[in-house]
Amino acid sequence: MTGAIDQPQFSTRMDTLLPPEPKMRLRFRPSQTVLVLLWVGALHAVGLWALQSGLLMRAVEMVVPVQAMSDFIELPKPKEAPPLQPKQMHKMELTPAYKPVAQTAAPVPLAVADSTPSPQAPTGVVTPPLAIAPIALPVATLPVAAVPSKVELPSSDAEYLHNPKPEYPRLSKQRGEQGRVVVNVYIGVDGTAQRAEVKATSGFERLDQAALATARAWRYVPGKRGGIPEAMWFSVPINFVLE
Amino acid sequence: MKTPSYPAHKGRMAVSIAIALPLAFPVAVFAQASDSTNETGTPVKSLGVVTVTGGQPTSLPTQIPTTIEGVTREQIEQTTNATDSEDALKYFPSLLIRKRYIGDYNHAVLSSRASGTGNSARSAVYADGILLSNYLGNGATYAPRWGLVTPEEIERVDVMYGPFSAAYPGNSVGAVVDYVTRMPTQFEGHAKMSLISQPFKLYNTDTTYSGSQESGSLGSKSGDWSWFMDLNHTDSHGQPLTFPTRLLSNGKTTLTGTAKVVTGAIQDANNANAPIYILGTGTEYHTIQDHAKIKLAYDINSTLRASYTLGLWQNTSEGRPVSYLKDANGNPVYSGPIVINGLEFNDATASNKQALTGGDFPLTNESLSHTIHGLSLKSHTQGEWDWEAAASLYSYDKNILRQNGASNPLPTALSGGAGTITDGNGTGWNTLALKGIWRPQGTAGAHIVDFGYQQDSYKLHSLVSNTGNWIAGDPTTLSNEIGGNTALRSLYGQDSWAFDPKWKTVLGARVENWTADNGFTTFGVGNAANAQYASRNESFLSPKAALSYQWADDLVVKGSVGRAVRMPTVSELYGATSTTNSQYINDPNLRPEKSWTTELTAEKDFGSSLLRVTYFLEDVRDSLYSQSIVDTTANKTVSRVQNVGRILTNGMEVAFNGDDVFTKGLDLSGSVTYTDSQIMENDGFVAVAGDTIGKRQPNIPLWRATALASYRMDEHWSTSLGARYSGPQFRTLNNADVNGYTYQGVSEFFTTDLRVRYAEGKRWSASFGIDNLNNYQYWNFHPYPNRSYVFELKADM
Repeated sequence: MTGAIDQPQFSTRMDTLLPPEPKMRLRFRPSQTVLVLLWVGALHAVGLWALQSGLLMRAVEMVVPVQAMSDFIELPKPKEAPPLQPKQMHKMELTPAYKPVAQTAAPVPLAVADSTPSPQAPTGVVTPPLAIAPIALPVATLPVAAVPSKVELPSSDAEYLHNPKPEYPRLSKQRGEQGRVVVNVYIGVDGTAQRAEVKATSGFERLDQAALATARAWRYVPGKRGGIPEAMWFSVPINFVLE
Repeated sequence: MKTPSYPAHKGRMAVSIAIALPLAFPVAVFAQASDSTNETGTPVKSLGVVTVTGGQPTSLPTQIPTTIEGVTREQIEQTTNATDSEDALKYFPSLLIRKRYIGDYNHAVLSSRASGTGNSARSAVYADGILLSNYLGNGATYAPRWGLVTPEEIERVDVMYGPFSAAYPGNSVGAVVDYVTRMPTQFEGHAKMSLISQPFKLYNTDTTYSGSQESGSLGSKSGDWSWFMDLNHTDSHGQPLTFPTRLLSNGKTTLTGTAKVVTGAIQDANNANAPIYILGTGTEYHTIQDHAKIKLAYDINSTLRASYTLGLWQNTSEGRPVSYLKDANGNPVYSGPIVINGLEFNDATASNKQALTGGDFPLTNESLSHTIHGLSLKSHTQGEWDWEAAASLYSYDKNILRQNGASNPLPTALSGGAGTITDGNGTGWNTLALKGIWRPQGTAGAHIVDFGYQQDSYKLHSLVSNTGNWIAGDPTTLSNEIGGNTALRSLYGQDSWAFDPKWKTVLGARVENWTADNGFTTFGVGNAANAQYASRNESFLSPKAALSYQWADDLVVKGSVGRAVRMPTVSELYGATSTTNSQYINDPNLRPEKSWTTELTAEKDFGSSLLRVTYFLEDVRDSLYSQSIVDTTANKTVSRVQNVGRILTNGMEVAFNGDDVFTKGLDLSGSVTYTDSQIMENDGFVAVAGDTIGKRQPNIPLWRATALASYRMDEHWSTSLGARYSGPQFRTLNNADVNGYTYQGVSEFFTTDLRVRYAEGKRWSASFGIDNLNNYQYWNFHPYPNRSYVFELKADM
């Protein structure tokens, strides 16, 4: 749901985010943006209702088989395309001008599911990956690959990372500024944020900057594909709340 | 950072949901996702929403584009040697609180841009919606009841600089101060101990006055219930505040031989620069105060909260004098005819009280017990409609002032004797407010309308009786009794309309119906001055408007204008009193004070700092002034309340507020205010007709400035340095008080304050501070404190 929603907005920024990859350049026409925004609004409404009523988790479990979800995230060859964030792939699914990579990319060396956590992985992490499924798509259209690739998302919350929450900016607190910032972070194999950008603004520059600085300073557990660390984009949502 | 556990195969989905989540529902998501497990049954960590809470927001109407300044608990803790709740306002632009000593309960008036320290009824102080301003009078005696909030309780305090919201009565003309106190979301406890020491030197006084304060608070939230309780005990000795004096010109060079020759008097000049002898000190208060507060809140459902606040404040204080005068044997002299340097002060008639009486060196014992109650029911749907019903009560349960009589001087007065008892029992006020918010297009919509009905009722009762024993005796004959009620019923509405992404306007109005009833003044049966006053019933309309334009991403320009009608208070209307040292002349026909207040602001946002430039204009008709004149012949202060025709104020305020300026951890803020405030019209006068026209408004200096630098060196140490400046000013309408550096003068000042804080984790902290570091001797009728040392030890859990 939300993967599909976030994706168009995200893709519009791809030019700046990943300049070296011409393949990734996506163009958006304004009319499309409007449509997408409407779509986004509608999906949010439905999603929130579903969330509220507790339906969503059940729906996801029932509608999208786990196998299908991970299969869907078949990846392009590392040499031909950069590691993709799940969202980017969604984008590709949705953009008619683009052929889904999952169907055209050269075969990817598929990692064998490795149940042993890598040394960097937080204890207790199991590999079966998670994928992002655009539930808007009929399940039947999902391509099913022969061997699933296991993706393990990066994380920032392992205890030993000592990632502090951002401080509420004093002036924001004083002036009653609050809101939610989503920062997109490109997490390198070493666990550092190599790039970060505000994806969704809180409406207040001060809060956005505080969130950005925090996400940049954090240490992460790198994402893995089949147990092998790999640079990935990830979203860090930060809520600034006065209550 | 709290992170939920997600099952691996559903993790990404859960995260996506979390990312898309509006801030209202994080708890719901965590709850849904975290109890799931993956196929192997092992919970897996993943990213979740990080929620950063910054405490509670202000309840001031931030939708109005006008100047609002604020500080939070952390800033206060880091920058201010706070022993009283009003200390939190110390470095606000243009504000000054006339706090004279720790625990000052009767003279700490708040002054603002165009309102001086004599105008207590020209500002509105609220704590959690409960009115702490005392609208029973206008002046030092009617300072806000700061004692009902302790520094430890403060979550944040914010100030709106004028009558720009229709939701407040006309008393908001100078400023609206909004205290929000702590309401825990989890278990917390705090304990603090402070020691204060002030070596004080003035005239012949050279004594160290000290104080201590202990406070503790506990609170928690469990399920739908939240609670908080706070206890505070203050024991403080202030410096002497009053000084008996004699004008040299009232002394006789012809000695009768009956007067005692004394030494020890200090010669000074009074505020009009006439030579005077300072004979000693009076009103050195020793105040012992206890404060207790309990707050309870119950969430009836997720959008409706009921809360109740109970506050108790008790004060026992003693005011004691010291005579500088010694006879030939070195014994202190308190009474009778005296000779100082060949000048005899002998006459003891009512019109020429030059011999010493019990009024020169008065002893006072005060016993006060006040209660507040606040009850509110408030919805928080953030949907189309929200509403609130709130009621509050401030009650003088006990308010007894005992004082020795003029005929009963020291040293015998120490053990009793004749005096007076002033009983304020029955005094108080209550408020009722029904408020609504209508958001026809939601919280982010173009229109947000708030409206309501308010009813504020004030009752004053003061009974002065004679007594045979001022310390412990019962009241005997009536000396003076006054009383009366006023009430204000108001309807208001205002619409905040963002008619363009860059433009916003707020239009509002307030209709007020004011009544005054049951006013009376009695000086005893058959006294010719006794009066019963006719009721009054008047109505007024106060329009409000504001407009803002987002000039650039980082620059906003805004203007606001509001009319405010400040109603006469009960004591101004009916409060005639006559005591040994003072007389108050009331006027039941006073007209309300009507002001048009305007401000124009440009605010530049540099991200981590803000620069604001504000022009302000205030045009006041029928300004209500209690002008006190010291009758040096009768040794009495005579106050008369009157309407001053027109006062016009123009000014500029520049304020800067920055975080991490120059270097990480260095916060700077500061302000400079220029104010030109003049009396344009006045039918009344002080000495001769027209002597106040063109003169400056009392207690408004031309220049004021504040500066505050605070630096967090590391996780343990932080320090701050504050400075405040106020230019010369006058306190009389005819500006005759040209000498500020004396008793009954108001002086220029420049003072600096230091605070150093050491924290060991989140649990322990200790701080050391020095107020008035440069030991500047400054005055506002009474002397302000000299250099004072404050030591604090604090534990939090």
